[in-house]
Amino acid sequence: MNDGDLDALLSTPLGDVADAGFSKRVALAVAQREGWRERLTTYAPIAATAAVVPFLPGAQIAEAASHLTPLIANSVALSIAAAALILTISFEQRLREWQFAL
Amino acid sequence: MSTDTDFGALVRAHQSKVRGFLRRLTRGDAALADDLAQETFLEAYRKLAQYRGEGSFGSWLCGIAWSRFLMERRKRKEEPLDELPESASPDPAPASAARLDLERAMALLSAEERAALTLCYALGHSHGEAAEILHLPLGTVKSHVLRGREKLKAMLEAES
Repeated sequence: MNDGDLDALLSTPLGDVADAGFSKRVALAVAQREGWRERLTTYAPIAATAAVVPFLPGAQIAEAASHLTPLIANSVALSIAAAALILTISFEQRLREWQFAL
Repeated sequence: MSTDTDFGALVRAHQSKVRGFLRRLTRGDAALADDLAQETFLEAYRKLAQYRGEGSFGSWLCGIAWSRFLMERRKRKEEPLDELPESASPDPAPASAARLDLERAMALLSAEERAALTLCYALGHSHGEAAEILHLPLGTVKSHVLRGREKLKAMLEAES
């Protein structure tokens, strides 16, 4: 075998590997890992908060809350902001589920 | 379009190259190559923000695939990848007897030689690009290519 033949043989592109569901398996694995990451980022702050709560000055917070509650309840701007936040989060979740279902 | 759907398109576009490269590295072990390819794409997804656009995306993926292969080789101390039984052919559709002979001879080379030859010849990368993908000095890659090529030539000539 001469050098030219060997070079030609070596330069032959690798054959196409049929997808055969590989891309879907990767997408599924990505979605699963993202799910774990999302759960971790959701529940870790909740767990951290729960761990801190017993050490907070409850009486002082309750007193402050009693002053603030009427103000918050009567705030239209705050209600709109809360509604917008809830809608954005649920829309994003639905969109992500829909994209992975494709 | 979101990162997820974009990434799905990237997987579809590059899966053949990455899986083909890994099949060459694993000497035709398609199942192991596909596991490593999946890990490659998962790592790529995690590190997507780190891709700076220097070199092609395919080269970047091949670099991750090579790292994954090395990690797997280190993990399998009791059964190194270089001693795995040789499968028939890493190529899903070997075109000719010469191609089959090449794959058999290729399986006898070191992983570094297989990788360097595959990148520089079959995948069309320059020596410099191959050096970046394999995280090796340019001179080392050139000597892997040269030595691997000489070994292949000797083996193929002995067979014929």
